[in-house]
Amino acid sequence: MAERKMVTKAGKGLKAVVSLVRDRVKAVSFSGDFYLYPEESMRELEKSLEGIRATETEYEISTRLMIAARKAGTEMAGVTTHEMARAVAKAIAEERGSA
Amino acid sequence: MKWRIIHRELHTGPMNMGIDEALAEMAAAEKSPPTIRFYSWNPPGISVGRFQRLREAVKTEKCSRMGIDYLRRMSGGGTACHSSEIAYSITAPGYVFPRYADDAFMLVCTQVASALASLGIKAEYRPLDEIMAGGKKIGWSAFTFRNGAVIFQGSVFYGFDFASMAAATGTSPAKLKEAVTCVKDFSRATENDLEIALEKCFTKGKEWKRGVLAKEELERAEELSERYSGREWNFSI
Repeated sequence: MAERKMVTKAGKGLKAVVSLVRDRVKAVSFSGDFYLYPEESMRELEKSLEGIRATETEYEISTRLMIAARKAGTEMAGVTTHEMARAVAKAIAEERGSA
Repeated sequence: MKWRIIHRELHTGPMNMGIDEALAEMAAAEKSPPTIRFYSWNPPGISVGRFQRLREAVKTEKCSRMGIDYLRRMSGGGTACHSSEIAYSITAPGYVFPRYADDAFMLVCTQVASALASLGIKAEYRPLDEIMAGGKKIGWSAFTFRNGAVIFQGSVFYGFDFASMAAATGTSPAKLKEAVTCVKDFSRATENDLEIALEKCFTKGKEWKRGVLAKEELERAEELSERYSGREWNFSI
């Protein structure tokens, strides 16, 4: 399991925790002091990354998150799907590097 | 639509969160009017935002020893100290109040800055969700929108218990003093003056009347407050 903390462009804290199994993402969780609603839709964003290959690019991860957010009617402030993707991609890179 | 203004009441943290959620729920169902409610926490407490990890942001064992409440809010945003503040909430259907966070922060935080200006305090809104005076935070705010209704929560620090709040959040009083200020640092206004100033700015241009919480609202709030007292909700992230 690897985690990546970052400060978003809006000055909010974002942390992504990622676990990998056989070079695929098993689970992702996001936390921080940003705004995202409806709150329950966070789970849809996290689920959209479960099972993806660990080799996916930041852009591919960002697209998955963006589609999940659009489907769930998610609104965000203080964080973007691109920043979430960057945190996930960096956490994956760290985890793969330490494997 | 006529707004209801509720004068400041003291409740526990979980009950305050339960009331706000109950009012939003009932406003969405058009069983409650849009409401601006003033309140304080008794005992004092710390709240974290909806997506924060409480165990990372708050020294829970110290809080328990010091009699400080802690909980996770329904609204997003960061850690908030509830020691000597005038807190407020705005609960309303999304068609009578901005339903997007950025718009809501801009509206309410500039109203709070105007209220402070009326007390002689030069304050300004700093996006995304802060109110600053003298380069330090004097007020915070938070937002969520669920099931058609807005919950906007915030407060202005009237005074600030730096020692307790520093211990509760694992920082030093000196460090906290570098970042936080309060009304008492700038003005001889009373807590009541601050509440009146906020009320004037929040109600400007609105049709409103004073009111109290209805029995049904309190009953629902009591049910909901149990969640904010429990580990399942507070530590689920």
